Amino acid sequence: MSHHVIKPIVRDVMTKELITITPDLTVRQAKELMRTKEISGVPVVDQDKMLLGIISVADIFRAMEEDNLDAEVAKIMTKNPVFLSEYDTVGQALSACRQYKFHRFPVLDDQKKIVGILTAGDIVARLSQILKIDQVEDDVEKKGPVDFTSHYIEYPIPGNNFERAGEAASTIKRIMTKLGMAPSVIRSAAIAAYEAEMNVVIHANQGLLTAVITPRDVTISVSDTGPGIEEISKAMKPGYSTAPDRVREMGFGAGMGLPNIKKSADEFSIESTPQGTILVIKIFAK
Amino acid sequence: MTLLEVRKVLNATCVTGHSLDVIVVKTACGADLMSDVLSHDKEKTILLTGLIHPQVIRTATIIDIVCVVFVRGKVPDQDIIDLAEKNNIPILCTRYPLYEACGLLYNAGLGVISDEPSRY
Repeated sequence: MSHHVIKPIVRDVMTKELITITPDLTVRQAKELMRTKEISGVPVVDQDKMLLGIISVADIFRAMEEDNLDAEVAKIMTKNPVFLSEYDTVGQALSACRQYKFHRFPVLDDQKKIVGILTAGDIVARLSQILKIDQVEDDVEKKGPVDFTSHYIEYPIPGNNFERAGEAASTIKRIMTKLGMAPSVIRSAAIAAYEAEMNVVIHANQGLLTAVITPRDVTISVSDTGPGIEEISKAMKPGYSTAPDRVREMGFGAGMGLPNIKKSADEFSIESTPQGTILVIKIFAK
Repeated sequence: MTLLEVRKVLNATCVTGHSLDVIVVKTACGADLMSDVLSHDKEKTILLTGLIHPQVIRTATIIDIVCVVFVRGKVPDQDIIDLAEKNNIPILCTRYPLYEACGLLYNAGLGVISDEPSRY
């Protein structure tokens, strides 16, 4: 992929500003913490910073479905999670990402104490910094596809934050451009992500956008923590909108969001309950 | 048509730093609804709009709009201009209202690319 020879280790790329929780917190408290800190997963540790487990947005969603919000975190966390050593190479970390299909690893030191957390996003951010590939060049389309197997992006979307609306979609677009994907595929993905992101900003409390980019396809999922869509069939109808007027002043809220997403996607699914909505959008790189 | 010709037809001013003579456009889209803009699927498009908001620039960035024209004598705030500069999108401002600005460009040869009406 590059002619630079670098072997960064996990310690170089991990997030060191660590947010952890203890197992005696309630799931509700953990959920609030993740919402206010805009993170999608948090390690659970004891008094000596020894790792006990990890809790993710998926765990929270499950707890909500099972009406377990007041249970202790210890009850619903994933115990004995896979972890990395701070001296593992980034290459090893990437292969762990591929092997375990999840994208957040606690990082431990020699004494097995937690010293950081590593997400696929950290690796992408740090590597693009090291390789100076975060400036998108005009002629990038001519270079053809970059050699890669899978690329993971995770982006929290704060509800009601109109200042930042569009950043998640712009990030997806920038990374796909860097990866040398076809312009038509980038465009569809960016439009679908942007509309989905606007929906979260307009209607939801808090959301998370993830994208898995491979040379064959792009899968974008956008989940939020409610309040859900009352009638999906109505929301799918062009022109149907429940958005407030101040959203219309920004040129949105015209009831075209979901229809536009469906038009851009090759595969599209939507599920909604009062606890949250999950959109999954798939676009094939024809 | 180049952006320089667009500027002449609309008697517009350019509020960003761009060389208008080297940027080619093929068609245009006139709308105040950003969702309508997002369903526009032609390349090398300029966007004419009466909506002054940073989301106009974000929308333009998402679908590679080559230039934004603000109509009806509206002038964008500096934060919008800064966002456009950052994303390398030229901004033109014209006194013509939306309908007239679109008509003038159409008349000058900036038509639609396909005869097929858009799906929505």
